Amino acid sequence: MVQEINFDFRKKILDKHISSTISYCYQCTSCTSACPIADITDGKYNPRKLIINALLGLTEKIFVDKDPSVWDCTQCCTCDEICPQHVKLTEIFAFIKNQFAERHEAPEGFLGEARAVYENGLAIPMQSAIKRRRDSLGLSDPPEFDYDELKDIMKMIGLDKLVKKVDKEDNAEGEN
Amino acid sequence: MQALLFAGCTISNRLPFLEKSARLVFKDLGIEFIDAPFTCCPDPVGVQAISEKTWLTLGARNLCLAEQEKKKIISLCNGCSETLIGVKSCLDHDKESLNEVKKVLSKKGYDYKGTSETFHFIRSLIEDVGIGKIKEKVKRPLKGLKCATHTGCHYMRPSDWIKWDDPLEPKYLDVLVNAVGAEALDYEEKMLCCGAGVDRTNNEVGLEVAHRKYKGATEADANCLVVNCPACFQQFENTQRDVSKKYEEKYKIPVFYITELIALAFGYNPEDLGLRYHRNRPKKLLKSIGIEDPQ
Ligand code: SF4
Ligand code: SF4
Repeated sequence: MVQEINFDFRKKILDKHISSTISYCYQCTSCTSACPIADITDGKYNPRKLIINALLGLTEKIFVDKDPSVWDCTQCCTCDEICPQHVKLTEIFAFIKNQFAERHEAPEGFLGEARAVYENGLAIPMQSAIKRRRDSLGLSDPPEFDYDELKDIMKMIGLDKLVKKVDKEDNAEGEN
Repeated sequence: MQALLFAGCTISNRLPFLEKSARLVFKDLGIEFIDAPFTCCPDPVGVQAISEKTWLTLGARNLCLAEQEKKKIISLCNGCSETLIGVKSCLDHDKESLNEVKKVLSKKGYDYKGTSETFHFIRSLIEDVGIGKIKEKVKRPLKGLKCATHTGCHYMRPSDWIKWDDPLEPKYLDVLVNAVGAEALDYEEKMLCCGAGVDRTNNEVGLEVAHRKYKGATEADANCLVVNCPACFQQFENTQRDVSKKYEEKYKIPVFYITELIALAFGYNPEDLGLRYHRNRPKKLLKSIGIEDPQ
């Protein structure tokens, strides 16, 4: 099957100051050999393939077929250490994940945490049962923080739009 | 010099007993600290994946607050220390991001300077306190604890950012375990991730990661797991039941934070540390090495 090249995506990933290391990849497969998830999934997940898909701008494979899926990476950063070309793989994967979020297609397991940060100013809000545990251990309350300030900052960055719940309908027209 | 203690929201708002042991141990070792004036790092896995810009900006805001205090941050968590160090490193090397972040933060009156310093607490214990001083304080060596140690990935990787210990063969945790009289084991899958990163989207793979870990630890005859990250701690506390069910094997291995072991060796009792809040109760194991709460 012919895969379309998304030149816009290619330009972004090659331009992006950090992920520009992607162009040094010579497909040696060291990353995949060291990757625990490639091992567990018998190669179904494969960081080398993700890198070549990104480098060539094969966005359909990355975002639609998810072959392989960037969300299967457990972010252990072993590949970053192993790569002989110093390709910053996990930085590149973070860029790809951010693109998923822009498309409103990031999985809830990740999005939910970002939403919690947006709504509460922290990923794990205090609960009354934990507060009681702290008391029983003689621990004082955690430091206070200025949520309104954090919220303003997150809005300036546009996190509010990224974490908003989007209907599937709206979602479809945002493709590409 | 006084430091800023940063527990992070996983510890302070979900696993406060880990904070308890850390505070006791730091005090006994003469580490002076006050609480860091911020709460959420934010998480280098979850938040960075959705918005790198948010991760950089909120991280930099925390660093601004630390800069104002002119104190080093000591973090109790792998994720928090990776964020604070990673954000600084990214901003040190990437002018474009630096300018964007500075612009946003200046609207709230912050001037990011890039002068902060963050240590993972393991680094502080080894490099600031020193192993000699820790050994001196040991009142009851934890002889009989056979520990499958697990540093977790974000403790020492990526080494582009994190400049202590070894990115592929870390030693500090084992040194600490041995210093308190327990035994740090080599085992198959010692360097394997805890699986929390992939568990969010692919539970089957997440469980297999944990399964390999438990299997390796058990085959090496470990009687406990020892960690220095709250995310790994939770993953190991929470998945043993599911793994046992799925693979029809039986895992109920107690999980310790290294500061809990140090505190026990310094003479604190399980009750002082809130060990009753552990899911995989360590009571029997501790009793077998002569540690019990006074009646
Ligand atoms: S190890 Fe580096 S150079 Fe080799 S395939 Fe992976 S990313 Fe490319
Ligand atoms: S960071 Fe992801 S791709 Fe790299 S070795 Fe770990 S699981 Fe594999």
